[in-house]
This record gives sequence, C-alpha cells and structure tokens, in this order.
Amino acid sequence: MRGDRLEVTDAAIEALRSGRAPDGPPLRGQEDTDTNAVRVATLLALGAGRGPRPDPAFVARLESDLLARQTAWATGSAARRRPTLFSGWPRLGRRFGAALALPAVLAVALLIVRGPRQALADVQRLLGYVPGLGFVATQDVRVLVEPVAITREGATVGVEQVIAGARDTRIVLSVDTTVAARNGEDQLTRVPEAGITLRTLAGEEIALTAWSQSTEGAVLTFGLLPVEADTAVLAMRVPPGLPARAEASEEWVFHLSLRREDVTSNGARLIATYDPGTPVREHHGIALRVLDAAHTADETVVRVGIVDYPALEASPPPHLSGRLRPTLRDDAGRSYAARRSPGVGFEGGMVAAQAGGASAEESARHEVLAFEPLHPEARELTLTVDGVYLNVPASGALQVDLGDAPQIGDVFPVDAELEIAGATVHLTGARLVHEELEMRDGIMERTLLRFDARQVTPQDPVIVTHVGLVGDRSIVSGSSSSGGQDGIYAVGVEFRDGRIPTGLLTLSLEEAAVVYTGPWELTWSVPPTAGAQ
Amino acid sequence: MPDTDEALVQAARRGDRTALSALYRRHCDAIYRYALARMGTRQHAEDLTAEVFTRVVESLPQYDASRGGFRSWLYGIARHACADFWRRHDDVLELPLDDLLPAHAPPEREAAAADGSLSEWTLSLLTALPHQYRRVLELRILEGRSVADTAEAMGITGNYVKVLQHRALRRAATLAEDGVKERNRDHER
Repeated sequence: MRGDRLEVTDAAIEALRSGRAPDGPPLRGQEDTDTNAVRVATLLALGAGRGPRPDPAFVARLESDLLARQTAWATGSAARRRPTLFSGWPRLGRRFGAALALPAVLAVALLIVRGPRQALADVQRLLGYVPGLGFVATQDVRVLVEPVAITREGATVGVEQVIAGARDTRIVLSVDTTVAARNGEDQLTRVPEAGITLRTLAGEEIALTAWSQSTEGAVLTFGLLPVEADTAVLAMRVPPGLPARAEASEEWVFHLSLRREDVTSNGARLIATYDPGTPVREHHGIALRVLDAAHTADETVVRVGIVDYPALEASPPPHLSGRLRPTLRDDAGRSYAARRSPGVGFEGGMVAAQAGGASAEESARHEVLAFEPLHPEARELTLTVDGVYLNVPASGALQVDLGDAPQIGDVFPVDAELEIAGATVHLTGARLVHEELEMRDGIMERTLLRFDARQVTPQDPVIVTHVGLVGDRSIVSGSSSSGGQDGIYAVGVEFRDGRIPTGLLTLSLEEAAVVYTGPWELTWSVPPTAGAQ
Repeated sequence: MPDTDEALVQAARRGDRTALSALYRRHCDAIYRYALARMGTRQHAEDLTAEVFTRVVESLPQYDASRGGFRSWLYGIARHACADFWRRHDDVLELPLDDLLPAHAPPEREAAAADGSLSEWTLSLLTALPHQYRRVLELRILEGRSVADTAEAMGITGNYVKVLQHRALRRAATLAEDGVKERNRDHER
C-alpha cells in the first residue's frame, strides 16, 4: 500500500478533526475509490454533526461581497433584477419614472376641465390590468395576436406580450436558454448591448426608451407605435440574457402581429378593472384609498393610492410599510396570501386628491398589490394596511466627549433623547468601532461611532426606523441606522477618512424615517362578474 | 435585533446591512455543509455557498413568506444552485456519493446532528463495515480522536491506525459506490 495514499486519507481526517473541510482532490478526471474515500470521511463527519465549518476568511470575504451587492440592489443599480413595470426607467427613480408611465398628462388635463374627483374616476376607467405587466392605459390599445418564439442553438427567445398603447409600446421578452455563460468568461448581454430595434413595416424605427431585465427575460418600453400600425418587427443582434458569444451573423427577427383590444372585448390579456369605491381612510394625516382592483384566475390585484399625506418639505412621498405588509380577507374571513407578480410594486402618478374640502393636485404614491385569486363565494373584500413609511424632518442635537486620545473600542457615556414625529428615541452609550470590509476591489475600512438606541415608547403609533445624524462635514461622512420589526436598535456615524476626532463631538439630527401604524381598513363589495375573467 | 429569519429578511430588503449580515451568518455554516456534502471539496463548497447567498441577496425582493419559511426558500435556492453547478460544469464529474444522500431535509438533519445522533446514512454505512473498520472510523471521525488516542484505545500502533482508517474508508466508499449502482439499476427498471 502506498504511503502517500495513507497520508491523503489521514490528512483529510485531520482536517475534519480540526473543523475544516479537506482540501479536495480535484474533481476533474476519473473518479477512484481513494477519492471517494475522502468524501466518505467528509460525509461521515457531516452525518455525525461534526461537519467542518467554512474558513473564516472565506466567510468574511463573502459577507462583504454580499453587503456590496445589497447596497447596489438597494440603490437600484443591480443589473439582474426581475422585470417590473417601472424598473427600467433611466435614472429617474421609481416614483418619478413611474409618473411617466401612468397617464399623468391626461389626468392633469382632466383635472383642469372636470375637477379632481371626476378626473380621478376618468383616469381609472382608462386603466386595464395586464397579467405579468401591470395596470396600463387601455385607450387605443393593440396587443399581440399570439406569442412568437425563435429557437436557435439551445436558446428559445419569445415575445410573450405587446401592449401598444396611446403613450408607449411595451414588449415582454422571455429568454430560456441552456447557453449559460462560462464561469467568469462571458458576460450576459444587457439590453443596451443587444442591438434591439423596433420598426414598423414602413421602416419607421421606434426608439427604446426604458427597459428592465432579469434572468428570465426583459420588459422593453418603446415610444409610441403609429396608431395605424397593426404589425411591427422586433430585431436584435443577440437576445438580452444570452452570453455575448451567442451573437450570430443572423439577427433574431420577430414579426409581431397586433390586434386592437379593449376591456370590453373580453380579450384574454387585458383584464377589466373596477373602481371599488372605497371611502378614503385616514390616520395621522395619511389618507389611503383602493383606486382600482382586478381579478384573474390567478390573482387578485389591488392598486392602493396614498391620496393625501402631510406635505413635508423635501420629503419623498410615503409608501406602504415593508415591515407591516397589507393583508386581504373576504367577508367569510378567508385570508388571501400575497403573491409576487412582475407588475406588482410601487407606482407613482398624478392623481387628483381632495382632502379637507380643499382641492389639490398632488403627486401621489401608488402601490400595486397582488394576492391569491378571489374565492367564488366572496362578496366583500377588506384590505388592511397596518403601516405607512414616511421620511420626516427632525431636529435635535447631542454631544459626545471623545476625550484627548480616543481609541477603537472605547465606550463613551451618552444620555440623549431625540424627538421624532412625536416619538422619543433614547441614545444610551456609544462605542468606537473599526470595520474592515473586504470588497471586490480591495479592503474597505471605516471607523464608526455607534450608539445604542431604543424607542422609549414603542407602543406609540409611530415606529422610528431611521435616525440620520450629521456633524461637521469634514469629520462625519455618513449616518446609518439598523433596526428590525420593533424599530431601531443602533445608530451610527462614520468618520471621514477614518480619522477619529478628539474632544467634544456635536451631532445634529437632520432627518428620520418612521412607520405610522394604522390600521387603514378599506372594504368594498366585489362586483358580481368579478373573477369571471 | 430581530430574532426571526422573516424579520431579518424584511430589514435586509430595506437595505439594512446588519440584518443581512445576521441572516448570512445564521445560515452560512449550514449551507456550506450542505454544499460540502454535495461538492465534496472545500473549493467547490465555497463556490456553491457564494452562489447560493448571491442568489439570496438578488432574490430577496421576490421572497414571499406566505409561501413558506425562509429556510425552505433558502434550501430551495441551494438545490437549484447545485443543479445549475453540475449543468455548467459538464467537464466535471458529478459526485456519485451525492446520490446516496437522503432527500435533503436540512432542519431535521441539523437537529439530528445537534443532539449527537447519526444520520440514517451514516449509521447504515458504519454498520455495514467490519468491526475494526467501524471502530477506527468512530474513534477518528465521529469522536474526533487523534491517531495516538485511537491507537491506545484499539491497542494498535499509530501507523496501523492510518492503514486501518484508509482501508475502512476505501471499503466504505466501495459500499457507497455499490449503493449508487444499485439505486441506478432500480431506477432503470
């Protein structure tokens, strides 16, 4: 028996004893019993609950990479996102980009000539629901007669839907492929690199104005297709989502046949919506209303508008809380589970709001929610919104004496209370922390002063979720808050260039975010024909 | 700090870095072991672990708690990532031993490991081995004893412990391979 084989298995067992995974024999090549002997050792250790732990350096490296990805995702720059109706609006932010998507101009025009309440009703009658795409304007709509697909070299690319409306033309593209990118060698093609064109038969090119992309495909938004056009040609050099090497000499060309459709033609793809007529419910000056609803065999879709809210200077509109998600139930007490749907999410748009007897035109926040399909015996639905998130202005200050020679790990006494939207946040103690985050392009170091924080009266109808502290700009480069279901638990400021100041540090409270709790209960009767689509 | 996975997910969705870190740290070891059981090597287990958590971060907006707990969702992603790995690496041989693992039920498996009991697969493999082989693997791998301790416990030399453990693992591997072949034959029928 060769001694080196004995050493291989012994080294593997020793690695497992010390809590490490054996350095693997290469997987490439012929399997042999010696190779599998090492794996059996690993499996035995795993099966006995003595499985190795990952290398701490790997754990830390992956963690920093994930945090960087989360940051990119949170700021909307992640490339691989599931297509949603509005995620491709170029750099405008969802709420402003979405404002382009709904018939804002039309709403404003109607507002001027017909008054706010009637204008709102008119806008709603112009909306239909397209499963997988969202609420769309239904005036002069043309839709795809039937999906078309091309299969070539292991990839199937399909045009699933076209909605050519009075404002834009949206195309839902699916990409199903076994042509995966080789590990680290090929980049998947993004929409802007795909060479996509949309033309009429007469040769007029329609500009691509927005897009969103995911691993499953893309939603492409083009300009207005001429009203007389019932056909169009979509072409691309390489479909988005395929590796760039998949580019062939021959373009991918889809001939699209369109038919006119409206909500009264009982088309399969454009579902009629209805105005539930729910009254406006208001708490904390925030008024909610169900603007419209639709029912398909697969889902119940509700569009909720925050039709009035406190006019706070320089604050973005509120949105439904991510931590207290709305629930839907019917008159028999049945609960409808939330559903994910490409058309679900935040929207924005111009609606006419009338609150307190005064007419006002406001940029409202909408959110589309999807739930399980309607039960056939349901007669009434109630949407319960438990929380609305809102950035609020705040003011206050605190001081921390860092002494003459502050060091990492030092703890400083703090006893400060900050008033935020009627709630009180108590800061108790602060600690100097140095973090090293291993990023893709190197180590990122940062030095923080981290406060312990808690809301004094968590039972308040306000849950504080973010506290934004600022200081001398040459010293403090940023602020952060960490929290959970019950609000914040840590507040921090990051020192510029990692330089810890000495002496008295003065920090000001400049902004905050809270969740106002409800509930807002919005009840409506289900039309007799609902669910028949 | 929220203590449930669902609360951490909600916080992470809003960009809370601490919550994402906590979620990751909570499940990293288990996913790594899951990957190791299937990949067999540290390098590939790390690759798969990274792939799983990258998908988790990118898919957090799609996570729907009403469709099941976070752990089920997480291990679903791990299963898909594992399958994708083998599809991508058609020049790499898939571990035959992976077929031996029971349909993975991570929580139960972890619970079994936590109370010191052995998985069904581990038990069945050990009981199929000759006494000396089983004993040396129990001492060296399950109890984590050193070569010297094992030698003393078994009344043999340290060098013979190494010979015995090597033979025991080869025999166990052969049994495992036979099990795979048997299962494949059953499937073909």
